[in-house]
Amino acid sequence: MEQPDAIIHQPVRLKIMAALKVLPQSDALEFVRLKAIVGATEGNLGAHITTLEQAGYVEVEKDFVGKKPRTRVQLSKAGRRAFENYTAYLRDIIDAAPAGE
Amino acid sequence: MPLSRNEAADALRDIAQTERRSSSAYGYKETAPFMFLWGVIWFVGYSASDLRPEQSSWLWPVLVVLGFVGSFVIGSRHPSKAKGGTSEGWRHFASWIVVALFIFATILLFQPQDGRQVGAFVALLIGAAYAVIGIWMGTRLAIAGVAVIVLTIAGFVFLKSHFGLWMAFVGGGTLILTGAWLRRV
Repeated sequence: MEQPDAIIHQPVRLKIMAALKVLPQSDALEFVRLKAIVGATEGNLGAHITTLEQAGYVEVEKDFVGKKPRTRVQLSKAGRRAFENYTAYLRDIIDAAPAGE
Repeated sequence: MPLSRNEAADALRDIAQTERRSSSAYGYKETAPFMFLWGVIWFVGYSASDLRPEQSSWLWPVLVVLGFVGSFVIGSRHPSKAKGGTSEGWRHFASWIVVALFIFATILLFQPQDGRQVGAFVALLIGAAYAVIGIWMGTRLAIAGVAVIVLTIAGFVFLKSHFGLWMAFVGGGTLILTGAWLRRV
């Protein structure tokens, strides 16, 4: 990978992907928890989740718990692969560059 | 434009920090229902130790079995299992079975004559377990574990009577409050 994945290479989206990556494969994170972990505003987080969903990197589920709407986000298989490629790219840069650069 | 080494290092640091926060949050969410369950069990069991000591010898084993059955049910309802995925829940369940067996074996070995010692020992062991888990999973659990240890020792040393009621409220209460705290975002 010569260039970073432009979808993932954005501070908030990077944190979203990192937060979802640690969950077991079929588990999802609620929007409110993701917001607390990432430290973004509601609108900002929603916009970045939409970008990731359109890229096929995350899947969004909306349902109700009683009468309360709930949004849950999980990493797709494509997203997991893309994130692994992105972190491998970062490590390659660190391994290749001389220290102190 | 390719990244510099510093930019790559910063990104990896952000990733590691976010992964740690997410792991903690996930662990807290998963642990909360178990804290509620065992907090209630402690409340009932320790209260009985004080108010109905003649019944506590059979009541405690029944409560512990109920606790494990309840824990199994909570673990089985994990979303990843419901979707046909695998769950690490069986490892947690098995770990606590080992702890329970250790408690049973230790009591059998030492044959304590004082019920307060048994009550304190169990609470100290569970408190220590949560403190150790918390060192790896997240601060809230470590704080809860230490709180259980400190409050147990304080009650054992300073209370001449009603140690069971003390443990029901501070021990059971700590677990229940911790469950509520772990659920908070």
